[in-house]
Amino acid sequence: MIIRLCLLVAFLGGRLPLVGTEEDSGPFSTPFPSPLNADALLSPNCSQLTLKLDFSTKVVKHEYIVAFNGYFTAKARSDFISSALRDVDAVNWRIVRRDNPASDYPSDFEVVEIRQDARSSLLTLQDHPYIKRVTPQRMVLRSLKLTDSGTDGASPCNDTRWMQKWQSWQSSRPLRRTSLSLGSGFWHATGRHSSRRLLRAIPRHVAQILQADVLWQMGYTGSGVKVAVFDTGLSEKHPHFKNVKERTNWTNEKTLDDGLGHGTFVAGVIASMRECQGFAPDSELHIFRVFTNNQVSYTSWFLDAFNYAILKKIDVLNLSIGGPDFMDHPFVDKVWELTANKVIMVSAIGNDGPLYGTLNNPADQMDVIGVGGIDFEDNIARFSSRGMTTWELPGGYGRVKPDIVTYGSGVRGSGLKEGCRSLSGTSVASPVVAGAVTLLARFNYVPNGDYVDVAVSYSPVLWPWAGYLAVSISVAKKAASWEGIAQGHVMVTVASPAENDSEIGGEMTSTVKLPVKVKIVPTPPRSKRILWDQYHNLRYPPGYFPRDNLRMKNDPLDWNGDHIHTNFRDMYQHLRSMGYFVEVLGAPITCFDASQYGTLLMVDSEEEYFPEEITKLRRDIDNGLSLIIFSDWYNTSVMRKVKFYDENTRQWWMPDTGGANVPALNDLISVWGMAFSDGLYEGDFTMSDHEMYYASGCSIARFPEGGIVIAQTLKDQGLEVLKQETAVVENVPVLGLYQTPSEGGGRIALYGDSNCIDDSHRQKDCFWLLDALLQYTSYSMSPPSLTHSKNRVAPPTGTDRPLPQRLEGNHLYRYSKVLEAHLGAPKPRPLPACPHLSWAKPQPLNETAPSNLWKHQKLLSVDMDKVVLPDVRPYRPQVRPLSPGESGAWDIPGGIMPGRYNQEVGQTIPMFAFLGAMVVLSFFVVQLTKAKSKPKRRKPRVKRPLYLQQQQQQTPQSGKNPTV
Amino acid sequence: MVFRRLLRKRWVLGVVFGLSLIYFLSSTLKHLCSGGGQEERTIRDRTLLEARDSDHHIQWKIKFILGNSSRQISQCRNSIQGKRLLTDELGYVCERKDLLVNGCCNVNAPSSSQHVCKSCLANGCCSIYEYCVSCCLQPDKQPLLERFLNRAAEGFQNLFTAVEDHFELCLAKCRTSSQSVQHENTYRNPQAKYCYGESPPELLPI
Repeated sequence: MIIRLCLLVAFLGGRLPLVGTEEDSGPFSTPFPSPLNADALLSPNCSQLTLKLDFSTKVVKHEYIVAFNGYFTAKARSDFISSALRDVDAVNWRIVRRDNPASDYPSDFEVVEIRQDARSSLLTLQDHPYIKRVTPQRMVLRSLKLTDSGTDGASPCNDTRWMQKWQSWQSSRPLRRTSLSLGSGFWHATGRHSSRRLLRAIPRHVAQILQADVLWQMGYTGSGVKVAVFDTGLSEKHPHFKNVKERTNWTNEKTLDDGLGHGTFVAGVIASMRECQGFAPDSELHIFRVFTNNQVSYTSWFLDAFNYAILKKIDVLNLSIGGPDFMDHPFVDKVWELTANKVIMVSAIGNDGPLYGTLNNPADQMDVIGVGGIDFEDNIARFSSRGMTTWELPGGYGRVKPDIVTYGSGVRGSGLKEGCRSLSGTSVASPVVAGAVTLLARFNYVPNGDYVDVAVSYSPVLWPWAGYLAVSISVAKKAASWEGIAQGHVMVTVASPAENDSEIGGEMTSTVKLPVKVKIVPTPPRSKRILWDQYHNLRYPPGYFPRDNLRMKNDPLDWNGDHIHTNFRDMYQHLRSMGYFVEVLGAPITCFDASQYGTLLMVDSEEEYFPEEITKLRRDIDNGLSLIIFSDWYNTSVMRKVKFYDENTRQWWMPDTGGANVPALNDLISVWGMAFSDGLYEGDFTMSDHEMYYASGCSIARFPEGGIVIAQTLKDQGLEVLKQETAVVENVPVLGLYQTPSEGGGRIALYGDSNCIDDSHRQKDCFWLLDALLQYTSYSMSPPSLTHSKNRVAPPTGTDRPLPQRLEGNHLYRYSKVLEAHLGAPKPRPLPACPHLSWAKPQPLNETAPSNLWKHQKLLSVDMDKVVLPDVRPYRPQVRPLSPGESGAWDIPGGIMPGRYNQEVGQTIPMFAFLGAMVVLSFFVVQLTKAKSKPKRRKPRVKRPLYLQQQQQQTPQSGKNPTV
Repeated sequence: MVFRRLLRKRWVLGVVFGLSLIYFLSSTLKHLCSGGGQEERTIRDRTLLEARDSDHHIQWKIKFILGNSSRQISQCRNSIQGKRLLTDELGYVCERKDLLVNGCCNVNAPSSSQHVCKSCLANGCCSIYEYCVSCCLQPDKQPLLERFLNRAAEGFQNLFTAVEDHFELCLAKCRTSSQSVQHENTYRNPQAKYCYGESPPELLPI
């Protein structure tokens, strides 16, 4: 069994999660988190096998590549070169012929062989106006080597078959760059070892490119592995499958067959045996139909189906579905129960990319292998959800997901009835198999020098199979002005208790060495340090926290986590590029040393505040900390209006806050005589020559004397939502800047809308405004464009209108870290203790680490320079095709829904055909009558009304089916 | 002119009217079908999961071995999933550290005890899964379980026709299931959600 498990890991082991930070050492939901990259293939029980890839280039004598400024035909290229070389007396040159199919097309380079007087010829060549540069021709050599460290000979994977197979690789056949050898696909797949990227033909089958055939030849075809596919079912007599053990239906439709093709496709990628081959054709398939043909599913169906999977002792369970509701406790608990019962769960990470913070449940769980998608050019597929999970927020820093990425774009798999089809989406998930890890024992770390302090916190028992190991790294005081790179490793020893069915018997221990490499910069000045308040941003809860932009009706919930690595990623990157250092506060305001930071940034906060926090913040600001608040709307009438009935949970959803929790914010800032209003405004305007869009924000109701207040003309969106009337309001105060009067006191900036710095639904960004506000708060430089603006108004006193009150009967206390239920109004809980880290005792190495150790670490560590991060900068505002009330429902990630198309087209085709036939018929009838009455004259007027008539008949029809 | 005259023709008007009528009827019917069907289906979902009073029987094949708790066996199955506690097939609950290599609880360990119903309420729902299984394995629970199997809803047919003995039945019966939830995403009773009895957990207001 264990060997078989190794095999499946090897199938997909060619990728590692690409998104990561240097100091992050993720919790290991797979037992071997770091060694899974292309240069070191370590399987759990055969760690003595290391595959090395050598890469070398050498210059080819007398051959030079002449690059042109554009694409030219072969004849033009030849003319350019000969004209360039005419002046020199170089006679002994020739163009090296390249006989390949591309030679018929224009090219931008030529290979020239120059035998004599090369130097002067090259200089002349470079002077030619059409020639960009001349470089020597290089030959690239790659070789694969197997090194056998051979310390542990008794390991179960030290099997002769494995050895033989790898021996054949060791022949280190040099691969010429031009030839695309069959075997190169897998080992070169990351493309990280070459300065130039190999261009590969788009492969036909994903099993081929991941070299499953190598393992098939060794006899690993998945036989004896029970694979469960939770999807839309499978037809009984599909020709691709030979070992369908059982099909069960858990839906209310009385059929076992797949009506959509999604389930068939997924089953095909796993186990198809002909045409488009799957990975494990001999595996035993258990088909669970948990989705109806209308893509409806309920948590309760899953609960029952999962129970059955546990009873049937399933080995690998593939769930190509996901939803945002990770607070669906019954479902989440059941997934933990499954993995505790040794079911390996693989799930698609979701198709909500490229927005960050869109990971779907259950793939974002620690005990589930979350699979993201890449295309066949090794780029992260655009649709693949990304970011980090919001599970552990606000504690810690966040956890990197997906665990693994593999081909998910244009993959071929089984078609509904027969044949193959191509699909894209993270649903093209694959069975990756993980081993078992139970009890964590001890660890030490070896930093290079003693410039960093490392603290490690971990779950005392890793059960079931997963737990966290959090590594916190801090720079020691003595290195405050030091700059450089510190590296070392954290060694983890995992001990698993003896089990009756294990062959070895007795306790098993395994050791994992996690390389850590951190770049240390001198402590930045206070003005450059920004603290992002995460504690008061609520992550996606089971309660209803409505969207921040009321226009986005198809995405009712604010579910991206509001973190600098999720939907505020663009803002974070902007701040970093402006030279600011941003840190995340995951604890109450009472838990940070304000003298270290210039500005506290609070954006779109939904949480309440402890009374102690309010007093602490006031003291901090008197002592020079500055505060920037981006608020959002809060209007109780609108909140009552946007409630909705959720079909899936069959209850009314009433918002628990508005876009932000304005009453709580007002409590926080009331000491300075400031407050936000319950107005709800929307509109375009220009501020300091920048186009701005105010998307459902509030206004400033009160502001102290002496502050700078900017007002704009906006539409009253509250009136529009409540009464469908349009009204324009002039002089709505949207921005306020204030210098606190105390000696050395900090500054406060308020803005009424957070949408322009949030990645989701953003239409026009206002990072310039954030820059201006930071200039003001950090350096006390008031932006002249604002202070001398014609839109500057006197600070509002706000005495004419009452301040917004909390919505009567809201249930915020259910999700809040601050409030707790109480008779009458909810009351704040006692202030929690600040997190405390106990710094581990270091075992420092010498400053100059032994060279062998250093090399070893280089092999393992994630080299951030070369990791290709997905390029996602330009994208349009997100529109997510989800209905309101998606909470209890599980949607098949959107990109892979051809079924919906097929189905609706299927329904509409007869209607269209019928109407079309009628139109054609009437046309002929008209022609006939016309021919009878006036045979000679053509009247163009006849046609137009007929065309109109035709349109009248068709437009309502197309209006019925807007999705096609 | 021709067109205007044409429009006045009765049969042309007839065709236009007929087309409109067909379109109206088809779209209305389609809407009715899908709307009505949805509602009907939701109702059917619910009834699928509720026990029926009719004579519907699922073909269960469980063999209850009475008095099996005293027999000696060399290998035990156990409940596998517990973080701290485990129940073996003889009904002993013990801490993980007291589990023997053969999968059985060490009966001599102070933490081990047999057939305990700790944390279980009168309606047969417990707050700790392992105690639910242990309690369910009591020999006197057999009539209760048989009665449940005879009345089990259609939705559980797959599961309960596949279980083979008393231990498997108790493992499966105690798990949370579609019976344990309200509004799909909340437990009916988060405190006592593992039930060996016939009735679902008591519905607590959220």
